[in-house]
Amino acid sequence: VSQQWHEGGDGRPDGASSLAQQCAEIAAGTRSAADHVRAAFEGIAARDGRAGLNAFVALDEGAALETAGATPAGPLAGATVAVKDNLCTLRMPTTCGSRLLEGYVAPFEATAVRALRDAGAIVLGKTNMDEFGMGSSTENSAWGVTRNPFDPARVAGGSSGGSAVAVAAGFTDIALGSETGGSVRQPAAFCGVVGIKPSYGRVSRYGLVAYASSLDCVGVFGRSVADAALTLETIAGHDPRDATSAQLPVPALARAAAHGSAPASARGLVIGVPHEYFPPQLEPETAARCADALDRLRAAGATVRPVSLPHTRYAIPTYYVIATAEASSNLARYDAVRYGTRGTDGKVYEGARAHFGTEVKRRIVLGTFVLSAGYHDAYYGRAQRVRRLIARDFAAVFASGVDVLFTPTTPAPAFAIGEKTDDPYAMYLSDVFTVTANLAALPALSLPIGSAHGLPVGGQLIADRWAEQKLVTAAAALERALVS
Amino acid sequence: VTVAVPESTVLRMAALAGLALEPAEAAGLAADLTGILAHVEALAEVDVQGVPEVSMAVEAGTAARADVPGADALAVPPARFAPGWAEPFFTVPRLATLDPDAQEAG
Repeated sequence: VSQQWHEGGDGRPDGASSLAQQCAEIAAGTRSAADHVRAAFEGIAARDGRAGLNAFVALDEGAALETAGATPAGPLAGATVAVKDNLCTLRMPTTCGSRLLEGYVAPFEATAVRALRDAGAIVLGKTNMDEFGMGSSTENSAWGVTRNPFDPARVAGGSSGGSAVAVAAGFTDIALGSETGGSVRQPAAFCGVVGIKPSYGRVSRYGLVAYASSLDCVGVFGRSVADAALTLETIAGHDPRDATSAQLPVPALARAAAHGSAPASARGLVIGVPHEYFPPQLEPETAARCADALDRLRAAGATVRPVSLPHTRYAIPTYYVIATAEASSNLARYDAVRYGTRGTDGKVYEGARAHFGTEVKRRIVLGTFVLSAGYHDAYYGRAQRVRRLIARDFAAVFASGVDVLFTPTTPAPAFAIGEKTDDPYAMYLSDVFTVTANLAALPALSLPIGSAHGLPVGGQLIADRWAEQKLVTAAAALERALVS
Repeated sequence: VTVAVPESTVLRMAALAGLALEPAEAAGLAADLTGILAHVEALAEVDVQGVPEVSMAVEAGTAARADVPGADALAVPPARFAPGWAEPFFTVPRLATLDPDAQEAG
């Protein structure tokens, strides 16, 4: 992997300075979309596949080349896209990394995918993921492990690991992922790319296969803040097909990124640093990169202020009660009647569900347990209340004049493949800094802030609900400060 | 107080969820759940007095749509969107393409 793609978000594989410029050149006819798409498939053929990084689980080469040959138009003209395998697409299978959905092809397309196509983007294929989004490493997939481009013995993060790798390895310009507890930001941090999780309700979830409906969001990956912001702006907005999508104007995120990357944009910015996200056991190099990022923001004119989010330590238990409870209900639909393969010996339902992987079964059983009579109040009911307290912590900090919060995205860089597979709770803890934004419905972003032992380190920014413009402006200002 | 989840509870939950587990899987899940719930016990120490038990994360909830009725889907004549239309029915592709023996066996 060429390191230059990761430094400050500039330096693209084929010479354009940003995605927006590349798309403008393709739309104007001065750059060939067909050449761009062909080069992408050559890269995938050379370095992906089960023996390679294993980012893609399905490719749509014929249709992609056909679209590219028709001179794409729009703000994302000719931009190559990878789509997580839990977003429904026409023609290609949508399997959610599960054997249970092997061969399933949706008869409709997710709104986010449709929005990218309408803006001129070209979908190259579907990417690997932890089964139904349940995992933090893309090791829980029926289609094999996705490898980290910086060290193939390490995980890509998850659950949107394939999408993060597609962008990090230069296979595509941008990618779609989804988040329930950090599944875009955590792999973005592990793979050295930018990942954004919008406010709950900002992007339509029509065509996103449900895991935990009070938490699920569609998110985006890009090689720079500007690229990711442009992608998010393209897919944001109300959709009559998703009752939880908010009727709010689409924020001008590409403009917010441009504003943030201008000189002196950090002046006046108030950045909160919650001490709960900097525990003593934080990996030392990660802590050092965070300290450096904050120094640079200070030098650029930002005010850095210590804050407290006192209920942070309850976030992981709260998340794993609520997410599994909702999953146990959502995944009941895999019944071999509407989806899945039937079992034999009259065990139609159980037979189909035998195809679930171990982590999915673990979460369904845990979710059923916390909802069951005798345990509901002690676990599910209590978790709902603690969730509200976690959200109130954030509300109080933002009401005190803080624009954005800065934290590490993960407690340490990418871990080794197999390192945490035997200890589910250790795996759950890799989301300790990301689940809070999902629980509180807030927008959050991870961007590369340097490296540790040759692996990328991600810094996280969290903003108040619907404050994506502020989030993107601050991220672009930090991105600029890191290269200046 | 840590809840030790016995294998019998795991099997009961699996039955409720329509999951068939192998005996080794049930034993493994019992150990996993006991371990995970030991961490979840931390929630018991939080003072949740007066905090509502609601599934919405934020006080404001999700921005609602305007109180305007949507268009009636059937305002468009079905003949314009149905795959097939034979007054007054939708028509669907024929399913009886299997031989009768196979149908009975299935």
